[in-house]
Amino acid sequence: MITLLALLATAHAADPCEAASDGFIDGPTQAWFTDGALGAPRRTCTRSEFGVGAGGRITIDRPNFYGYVVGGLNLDGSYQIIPGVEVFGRLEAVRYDLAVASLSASAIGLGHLSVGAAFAESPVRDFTIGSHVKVVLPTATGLYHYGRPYGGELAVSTVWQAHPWVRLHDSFTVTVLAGSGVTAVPSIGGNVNLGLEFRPIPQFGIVADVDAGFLRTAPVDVVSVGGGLRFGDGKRFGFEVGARTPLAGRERANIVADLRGSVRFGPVAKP
Amino acid sequence: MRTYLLPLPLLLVTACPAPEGCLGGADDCVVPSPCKAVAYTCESGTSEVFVVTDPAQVPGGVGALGALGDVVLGNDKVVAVIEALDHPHYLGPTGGNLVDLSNRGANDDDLRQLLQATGLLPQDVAHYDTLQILDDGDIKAVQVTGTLDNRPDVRVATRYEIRPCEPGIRVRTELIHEGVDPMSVFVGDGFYFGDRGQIPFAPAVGAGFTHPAFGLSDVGDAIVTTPYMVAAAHEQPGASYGEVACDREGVSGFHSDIISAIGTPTRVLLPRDAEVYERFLAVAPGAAVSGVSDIALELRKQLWDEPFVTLTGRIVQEAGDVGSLGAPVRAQVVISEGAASDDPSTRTPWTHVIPAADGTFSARVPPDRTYTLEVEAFGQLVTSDDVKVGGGDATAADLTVPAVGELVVDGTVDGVTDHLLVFVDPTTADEADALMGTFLGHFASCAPLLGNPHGGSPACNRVLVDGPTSLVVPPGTYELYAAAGPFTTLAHTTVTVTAGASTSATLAVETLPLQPEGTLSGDFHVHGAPSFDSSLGGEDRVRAWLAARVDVIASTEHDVVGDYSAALGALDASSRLAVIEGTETTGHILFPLFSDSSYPRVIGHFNFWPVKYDPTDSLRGAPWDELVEPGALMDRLVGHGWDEGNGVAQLNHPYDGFQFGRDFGWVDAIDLDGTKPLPKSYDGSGASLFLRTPPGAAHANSDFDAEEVMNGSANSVYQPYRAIWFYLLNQGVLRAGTANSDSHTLTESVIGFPRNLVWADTSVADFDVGLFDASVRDGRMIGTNGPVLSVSLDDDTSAAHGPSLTPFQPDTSGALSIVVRAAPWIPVEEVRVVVNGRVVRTLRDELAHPASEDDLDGLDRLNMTLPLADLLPDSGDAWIVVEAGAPLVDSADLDCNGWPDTSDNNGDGHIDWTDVDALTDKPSVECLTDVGPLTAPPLPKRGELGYAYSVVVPGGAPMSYTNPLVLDLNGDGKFEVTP
Repeated sequence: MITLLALLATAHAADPCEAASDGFIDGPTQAWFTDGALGAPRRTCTRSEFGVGAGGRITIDRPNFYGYVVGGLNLDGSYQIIPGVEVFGRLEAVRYDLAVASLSASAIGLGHLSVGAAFAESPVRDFTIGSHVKVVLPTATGLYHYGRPYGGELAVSTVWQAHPWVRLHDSFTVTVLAGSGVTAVPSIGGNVNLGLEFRPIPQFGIVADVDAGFLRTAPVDVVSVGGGLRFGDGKRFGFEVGARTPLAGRERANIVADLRGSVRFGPVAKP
Repeated sequence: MRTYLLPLPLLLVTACPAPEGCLGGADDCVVPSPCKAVAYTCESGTSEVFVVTDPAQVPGGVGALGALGDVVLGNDKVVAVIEALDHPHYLGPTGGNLVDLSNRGANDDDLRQLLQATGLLPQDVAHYDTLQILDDGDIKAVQVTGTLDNRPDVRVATRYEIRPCEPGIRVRTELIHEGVDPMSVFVGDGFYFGDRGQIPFAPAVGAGFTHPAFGLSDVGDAIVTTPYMVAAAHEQPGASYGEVACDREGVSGFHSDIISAIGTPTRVLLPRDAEVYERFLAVAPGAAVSGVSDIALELRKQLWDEPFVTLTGRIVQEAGDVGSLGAPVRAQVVISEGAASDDPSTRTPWTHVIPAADGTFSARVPPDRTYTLEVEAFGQLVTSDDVKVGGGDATAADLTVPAVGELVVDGTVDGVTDHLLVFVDPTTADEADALMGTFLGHFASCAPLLGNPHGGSPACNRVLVDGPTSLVVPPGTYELYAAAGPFTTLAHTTVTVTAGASTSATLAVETLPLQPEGTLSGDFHVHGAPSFDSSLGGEDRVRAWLAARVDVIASTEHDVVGDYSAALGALDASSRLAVIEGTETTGHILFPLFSDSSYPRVIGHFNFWPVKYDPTDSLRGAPWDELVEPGALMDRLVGHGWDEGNGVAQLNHPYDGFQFGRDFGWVDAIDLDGTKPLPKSYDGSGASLFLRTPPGAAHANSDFDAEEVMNGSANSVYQPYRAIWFYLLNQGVLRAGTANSDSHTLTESVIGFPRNLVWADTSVADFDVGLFDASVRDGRMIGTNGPVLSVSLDDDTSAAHGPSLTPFQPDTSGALSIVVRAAPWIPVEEVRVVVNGRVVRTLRDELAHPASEDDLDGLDRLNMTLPLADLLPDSGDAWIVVEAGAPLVDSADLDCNGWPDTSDNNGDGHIDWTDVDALTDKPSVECLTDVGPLTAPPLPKRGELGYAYSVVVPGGAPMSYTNPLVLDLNGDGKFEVTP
């Protein structure tokens, strides 16, 4: 037993990003409430990977005779230019919207495109700090007719490898949403994320998140909890099924969920 | 890399165009002029825009509601009126909508309301809060801006524009989503036809005048896309309307006789996006679709370069035909793309014409197609033919309609020519089937169909006569019936109408000594053309009153006050009947009525009279009646000048289903449960609203004076209304029970069937509305569809008491006197004595019956007394109501709310789920959700006793009731019924 504990104590990686250098998905749960995932908390560590996901959100507001379902197929990718520097993008390749009202409507087509760059550094052992900048572009041309919103975000995040099995992550994101063609009063808000990743074995993990957003649409946009189950082959592939649900705030969605698989490129190391 | 990125933000900014119109949200924005590709020219064209300062500036018409402060927008061809912002009507939460639209100089406005909406719920309707007049030379416009109702994050801006020479107005609406959640949006116009008026016509496969039925849950399935939509006013004078989109090649929407909504296709609207809709609202005179569909095709040529040609034709009458053409019922033609051999559901109706008196007609149609011309006469397809139309104008072969005969009908009352409503009835059921027709597939089925069922005389199978009156009729043998109300003889004769010949008949009616001394008869629920769901104009409406021999009419139009002074003067009717101006408040805008309800509601309908007619007011003297409980509504009436002390507030049809989610009855709206006592304080439930005084109000919701116990000539609603009235009496809520026709047209309910007989110390000649209404409020009256009931009971001082809500202490050793009399053609099969809601005695064998329908010695049916002691309950106070007429059908309360709802419809001797039309499987619950129908007493067949009654009172069976005698048995000055 003492030997085992001693082994665990000495089992820390040099930084959290090295500890997550296989294809297993890391960082916060990916399911998020906004188009183009504007404001969604992001992993701190950089990597090169390609992912495919399917997900959506559902809103049921019976007293106001309102319902909304949006779902689709998302493609995402990132390229680590040098360790700690990454460019990334995400495309809602196919997006289906269903608005339920006294006269309902639906649409299917291309969704939003987001592109950005991320940076990460590990100033001390077991701790990495990063930042990213992202823009969300209104490429959903079938949906917008007269006005197009443009989103942007700037975030700072950290991850701490508290234990070989446990990581804590957090982030703070500032979002800006502005439009053209119609009323273009920009809205500015912020999101805070705090989460925990538990990975007892290389092939399985659990993530849990608490998020709060404010000022973008209301004094409190959302307070939500979320989580996911993660799986991997311990090498290049990773899968996550995750969801978030609001507990408070203006956000009307009942739940947002995502199923995503990814493959990591470049050098990988077994955890 | 940075240097490459630097110009990008500049590119983005410069590449983004400035928002057009009001899309950008600037306070001083101007919606751009719509329909730029449209151009009309003429000599001496004019345009104008001004605020109304004199009622004479507002064009007339059955739908005219323009008032001081509204805005007129007009040119040399058309005149429109846009509501002032504080002049909402019907479905609009504010003004800013189109309320009148007519042809210049024709006074033919037939537009109830046209408002912008994005869906069917109250929060989908535009709420305007600014109105601007824009005057730019020849181009005049009115711009209104606001938001969706109670949704400040969705802005709406609409521009109504007029230019010289144009046969309509241009409209552009911008809807901007400044909210945060995606929404479904449809930007369009709601044409509120109201029912019984304009019929929408959509040129789509299988459509035309045919539209699928739909409810709130499946309206999406009823949406069609068409090149345009038109709606004709089949009653004249009336304008016809059409809408053509300018910014897209079709309009999407749904259609019904009550409302059509057309505009952009429904789509998902994301935040920070907008929807824009430009269209041309065309106006044309005449009763046919072709007037306005011709304009629509002209517009489409200008907008989309779509060609059209003119198709002409002629309807020919057979030799010797005595009739003439020009009236819709005589001959009207629907022109559809396709062949006569095609299934009608695969053809596309394009237009509809009414031939001129010489039979000629013309209409524009798209070229290079085959068309079927279908001729409808008297509501039946009588002939059709195909015509191939090429690239140029075309002429169809003559179409021959069957010859008709002329029937000249005259009528006398007591030997003097007078007003009568004459019913034309086939002599056999087979002949009736052969003659059955409908007006373009709409409204009532009639045999024969002599005119638009909801128009002036002749309508359906009846005609108003006052002197020899000529009408054209399909050849055949008919029975003619007429009675001048229930207190006269019924005249009946048989005529044979031969094609090409004229036949005369005179019906002589005699007054019978049936109306009790000291009474005035009254019908307190009557509509005419000022109501949105009536097209019956002034003179014919008044002629129907005169023909019914009603002494007092409460004229109660939906949401407005009507004025019949011109018609009363023209017919010299003022000496023969007293007309009390009033109004029927009609909830249109759904709102959260009580906290336990999961959906918004309205409060049903109430009548108030007298309410003075004001021609300058946007509702003609009535207050705005939306978004309030009944108590607060009464406050508004008082504030608007209703003389409460001399007037009456009446709860109408308390339990009568709903239309587009709007309950007709207050009892329905609040889910009142007749199996439980009335809650004494508000607890969030609907039932607890009944006695509540709304916060800030001076009146309680229960402060109405009377409840309708009989509504309409047919009797199917009598049992539930009666049950509600009895429940209220037992709860100590003493309200008078009234019996009214709720007549909207000459078809459906007949004026004065039923009516009230009111004991009041006033007369028609010297009418005192205060005295009369005091008697109504006190319940000194009976309600009747025929039999006349007189009941009395002596009090402990031997003074005789008739029906009245004023309690008295009776002589319990005395007897209840019951006298029943009726015209010989009105069967009376039983008399029921009801005490505290229970039938305690039924009299059948004791009744006398006339030897025939002409037996003038057969007026007296019952004259007897019943010992009071045998009728009274063991304890507590009591009320007594006596009923006479047809037996009540067996009924049950299958949804367990205390009101009968279902009859033994399968005739198996008991009433259960198998009698419910809507159910096919046995429900697992005892109290059902789906119930009904509850039918009226069975109607006699031809040749059976009572058949004549059923002809002149369609769907009705004889029924009468007294208001209660309210007995304070223990003399303690209080009235309390022991449950």
